[in-house]
Amino acid sequence: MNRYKVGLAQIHSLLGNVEDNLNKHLEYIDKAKAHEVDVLAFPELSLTGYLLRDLAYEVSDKCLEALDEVKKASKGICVIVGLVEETRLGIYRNSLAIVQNGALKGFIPKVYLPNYGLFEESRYFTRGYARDLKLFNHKGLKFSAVICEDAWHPEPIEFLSRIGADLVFICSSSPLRGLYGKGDTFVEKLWESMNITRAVENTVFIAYVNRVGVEDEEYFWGGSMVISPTGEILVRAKKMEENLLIAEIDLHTLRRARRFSSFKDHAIDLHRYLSELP
Amino acid sequence: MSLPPVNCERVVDYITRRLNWYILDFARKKAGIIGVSGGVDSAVTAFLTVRALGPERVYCYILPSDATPNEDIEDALEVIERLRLPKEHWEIISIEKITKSFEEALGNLTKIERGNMMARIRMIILHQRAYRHNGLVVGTGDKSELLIGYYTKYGDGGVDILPIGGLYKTHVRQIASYLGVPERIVKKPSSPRLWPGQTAEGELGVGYDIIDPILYYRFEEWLPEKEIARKIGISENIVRSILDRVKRTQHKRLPPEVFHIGYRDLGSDWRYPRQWV
Repeated sequence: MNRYKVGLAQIHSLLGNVEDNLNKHLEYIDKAKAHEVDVLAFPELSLTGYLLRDLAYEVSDKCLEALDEVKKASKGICVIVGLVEETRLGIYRNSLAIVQNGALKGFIPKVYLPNYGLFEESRYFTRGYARDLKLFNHKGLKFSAVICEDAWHPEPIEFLSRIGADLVFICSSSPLRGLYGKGDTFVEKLWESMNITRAVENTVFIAYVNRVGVEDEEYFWGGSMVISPTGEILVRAKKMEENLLIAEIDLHTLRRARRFSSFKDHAIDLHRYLSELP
Repeated sequence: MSLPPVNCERVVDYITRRLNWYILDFARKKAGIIGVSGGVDSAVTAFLTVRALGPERVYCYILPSDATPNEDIEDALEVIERLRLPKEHWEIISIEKITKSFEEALGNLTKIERGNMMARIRMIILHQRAYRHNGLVVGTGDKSELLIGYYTKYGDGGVDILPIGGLYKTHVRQIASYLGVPERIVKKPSSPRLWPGQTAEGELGVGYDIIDPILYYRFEEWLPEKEIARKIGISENIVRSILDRVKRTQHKRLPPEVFHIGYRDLGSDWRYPRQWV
């Protein structure tokens, strides 16, 4: 099987309201199943909302309960949801849960926790490590996922591509900034270029899913998209509104793209030197 | 060099969505309440609120005093006419008698004391009407005024939301033209109109054409004072005087300070989101 349907649930999560968010997840899982989607991804912290601040300490139990419901709904489909994960008592990670065919397959935590401007994630979360980045397989499709800021650095997606991912999801909560000038805002332009770059430099499919809607001062702009390994934007969601975005990906495109790319080359010495730099 | 223009189409769409969500979904209120002065800020705020909620969910009040020029009342009426509000959705309420009775009770007031009091009387009226119509008071302050603290604490600052608080005065004028606010209002020199002859430029020493780029370069592009002065072609003293205003008025923009006693108090310990379910 070479063709797969990828679904991106561009939803408006309500801050701290796991119950309502779960219902929204179940609704989108049903819709995705009706469209025969193979893997459906939700945005970063989709079950809880993003700007939790002190609520971050109080939602992880509800997330586990919600995950049980997602499991029940996941027969025949693979679902990626964003949530707060309590890894040890009182220690939390900003994670994705991968749920497949009724079973929880694992968590992927965020590695780079942003702490600039409005972001203050390492106040609440502990970071993930390379060993936590894993590969998943659904009906022969090898895929994985990273969270938002992890796509602003080249290594996490490069790592996943080198351990075998053909598709990497980027689950994001990107707020709007800089409504100056004409056309797209600078945040939107940056994300688009970054998604294309990550796809091309690793010759992988990139599926970027961003939230929409308001949270306190922030407004998330959506604009989810799927990019081919040659950097072509295959589908693009509406901005500012909820949307279930579906793309069909063909692994033959990937095979062909890799024949015209230097992905097979990996200058390990460069990485060794990089690891010694601050 | 001046500040970059805003993307009018995106900004109007964005503010409209946020107003609708905040008032109807988040606050679960039924209406937006606006004091319309005949100036550009309240005109833009009223236009945006009507876009967000529809005219049947907006109430506008013209609250003149003896310091209000007739031209402002005419302009305010023109704004209300363009909004097509139902006729029971707007009123002219003079604050002159109320101000006078305060002055009788308190003794003579200075120009500034009386001006601040007038701004607070308007605030009281708007909140009373907001309660009656189950609405929120939609503030009309812009980013320039908020940053330099050019407003009355608990007067025009006493509002529930500030939808144009992210727009400099220059941007508000740009959006006003885009929305079709009457030209006379867009071009009118800014003034709080708290006493006859008061203008913003007269009080601040420079106009918003200078203030806005100072604020933009300092706080959005993080430039040092010297560089800002060079870029705009003004003296460093002007830059410093405007930035001093921002620092001096910080208390107006923050909730009152709470002295910490317990394990967790209001203030730095209290990091719950505004949206708290």
